[in-house]
Amino acid sequence: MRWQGLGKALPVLWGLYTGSGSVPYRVCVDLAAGSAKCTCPSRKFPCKHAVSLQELDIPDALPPDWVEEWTTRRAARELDSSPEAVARRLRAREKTADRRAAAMSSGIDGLRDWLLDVASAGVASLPGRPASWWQAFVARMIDAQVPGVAAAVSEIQEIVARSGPRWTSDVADRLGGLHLLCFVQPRSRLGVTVPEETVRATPGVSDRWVALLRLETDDGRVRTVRQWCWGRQTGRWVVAIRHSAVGAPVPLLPHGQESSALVHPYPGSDRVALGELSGSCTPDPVPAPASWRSSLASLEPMLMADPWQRLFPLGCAAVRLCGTSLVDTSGFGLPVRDDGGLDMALALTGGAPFDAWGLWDGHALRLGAVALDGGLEVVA
Amino acid sequence: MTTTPPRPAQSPESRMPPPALKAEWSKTVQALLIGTARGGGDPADLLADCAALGVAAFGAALPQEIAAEPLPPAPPETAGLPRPAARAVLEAIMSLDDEVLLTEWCALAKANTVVADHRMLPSLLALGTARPGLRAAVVEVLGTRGRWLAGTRQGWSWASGTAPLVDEVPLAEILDLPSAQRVRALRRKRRSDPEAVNAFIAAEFEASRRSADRQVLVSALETDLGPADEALLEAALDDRAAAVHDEALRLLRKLPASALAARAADRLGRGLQRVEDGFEVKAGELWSAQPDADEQRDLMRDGSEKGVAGRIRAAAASVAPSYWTARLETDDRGAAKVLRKGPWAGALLRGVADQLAAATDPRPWAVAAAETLTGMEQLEMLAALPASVAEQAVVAVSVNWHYDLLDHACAQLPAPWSPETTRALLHRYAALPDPRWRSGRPPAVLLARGNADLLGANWEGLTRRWPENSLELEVLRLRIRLRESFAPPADDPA
Repeated sequence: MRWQGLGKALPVLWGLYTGSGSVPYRVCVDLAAGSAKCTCPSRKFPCKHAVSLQELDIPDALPPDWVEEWTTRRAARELDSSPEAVARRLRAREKTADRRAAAMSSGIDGLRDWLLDVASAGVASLPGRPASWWQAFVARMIDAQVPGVAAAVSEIQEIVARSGPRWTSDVADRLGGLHLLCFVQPRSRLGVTVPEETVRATPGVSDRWVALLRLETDDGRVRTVRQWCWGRQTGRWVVAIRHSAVGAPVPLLPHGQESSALVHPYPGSDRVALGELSGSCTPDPVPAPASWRSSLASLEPMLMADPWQRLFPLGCAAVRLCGTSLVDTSGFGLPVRDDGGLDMALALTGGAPFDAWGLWDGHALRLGAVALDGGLEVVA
Repeated sequence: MTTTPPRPAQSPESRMPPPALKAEWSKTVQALLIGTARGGGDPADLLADCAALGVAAFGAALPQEIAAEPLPPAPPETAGLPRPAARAVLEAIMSLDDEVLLTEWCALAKANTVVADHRMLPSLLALGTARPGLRAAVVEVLGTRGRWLAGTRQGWSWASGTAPLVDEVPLAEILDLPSAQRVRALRRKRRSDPEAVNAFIAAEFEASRRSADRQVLVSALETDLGPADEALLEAALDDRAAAVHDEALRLLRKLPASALAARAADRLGRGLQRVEDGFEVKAGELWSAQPDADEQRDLMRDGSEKGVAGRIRAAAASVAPSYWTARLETDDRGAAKVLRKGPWAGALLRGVADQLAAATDPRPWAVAAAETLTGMEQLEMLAALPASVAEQAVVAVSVNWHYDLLDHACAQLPAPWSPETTRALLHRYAALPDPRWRSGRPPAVLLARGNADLLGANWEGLTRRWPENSLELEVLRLRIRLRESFAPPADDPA
């Protein structure tokens, strides 16, 4: 056994590890602060010893002097509020912000040049571009700390690869959106993250949120679940997002339920952070617009607020499936995706008219929830 | 930043009437497709147009007037829906992806005249589409709504009963299908239209030059095999190709009271004599000389029926066990007792093993045959038995089996087993040492297919013998829940 002197006084764990050095390494982990200290020469942080220490079954004990010293020093460092330290921290923050602004500015310049090149060569040349051409530009955008732009370019690559009858207009739309981004530069679209704590510190919106629509995506590294929730009192739609690197992410709000919750909107987007969840229950009937026309018209303020958004929640009352479209009572319809959501909707309604809610991408509706006789059912 | 800013989303273009906007957007997309290097113009202006018109085109999308007829509504559901407990069990089964349990649920639902909850229908239809083996069970619980829903998708037509997916191939083109599909298609057609298919098989058998085609034609007769097929099968015994001959002989041996059976009975009568200790070959008779052409015709050409033992086995495989009971004037038990003695016991019992399905009581035969057959041959023998007697035969012959053989034989038995079989096999398993790799874990097949009530009553003994809390126990728990969820509600205590 290479571990000795193991002990814990939560949230601190410690132990001595006999490594290749002459003296055992002193390993100490503070679980609350997510911080670790080890005397090994590894340049990785946290080192393997600090990681493995957390996996051990450790008895409670009194911290030895070296652990006390480390925790005291850390506490003292955290509490350092002298004017010099505050000024130093402020300067460091400013320096970091300046560096990021410079990187982002150069990234935007690069994006502008790239867009001009593409518009000059024509999008007909895009299907012939090798994957390395796309990857090089995406990597450049990530280096420039504008991951939102990188994601948008990857999406264009995906549209080109997927091809189909409308790929040229979709690509033109997305390239136009990126061009607009170069001038407006909203931080949320550029991919500048805002810590959840910061968002939670802002005033929240309290409402009874009905989690109606859901979309799960997987980019190969992270799985994401997005929920579109409708506020019964405010009448507004918000988006709750959860990510998970391991396994399926758990939705932020109980899906298909009506939850009394306080949510905090992220700046410049529909996304919200969950503040406080008071309780959930089976949802009461949700009113749906009488026709697709009025439903589409209601998107205008949302589109004006975020002209890059191409996925909107849409609902309509008393629709029926006619061919490949969901048709409202006036005889007008929108194309619907022939997927599991539609199958479930038909199974539940048996072809009777139903209220439909789905996600509209400009081409087809992805059915997510239906209501028949007032009872709401999630279908996807 | 010195470049010209793009036009705002609310540009004059976005307020144009939709047709003009559409035309403008289409023109812009075309210009971007070609590029300004070839099409002329300023790339920044083109991108600005894309920015303004793209948003406008998205926002100006309008619903279209639809001429198509609405989907006709589903007819009202006549059967009842399951209780919440049964519904929950079905959901658990679907998430566990256990075919045996699903079949059991469907059988219980059918017995209780309930159909699956509407919410489960798409998953059930998808499952039946992916696994054709489950379709027979799934169809029973779809109900009116499920059959209506199946009509909405081409891939689900197997459940709607309107358009069978695979029977579209005309009879004349069946032989052009890949080999495995030819037999299946012919058998399906024979079941639906026997006369036409019989005429087709007879004509094609005469005309067909490829032996593989003739073998397919003969093989298709296995479905609804009857005395009417005997003439063609007899003709096929004269076929040049060994595969065609052997296939015809295999089928002929399944026909009771055939000419082949009569010939075999005659040979057994002439060739074997009853002695004190079983049967013995008569000296100077049939089996003391080389086989003649007639006998050669009734022997498999695959090399398994050579020599005296092979010829005796062939004759025994061509007569029903009732031949022996009649000849020895005893019952199955007495006849099996005689046949297991003597120098030719192995050959005779191997032959009888092929005819076990026709026996009144196959158990004594199976026990006797098991002494001479290899493990694989025993499994084949048991697989040929009807489900009702196979259980008893497995119990009877498995006394000295090792774990793997017992496991294989039990896996062949269709679920659910009777309480007696379950009890007997539970004791067999419990008495055997577990294989090292599954030490402490109960046999999966026993818990998945055994009688759930009996296993539930023996829960304590089971968990004592196999203490690991494994997935197999989870399956059994689910099966017990399944029984309970369909059980009639208990009377309220007075």
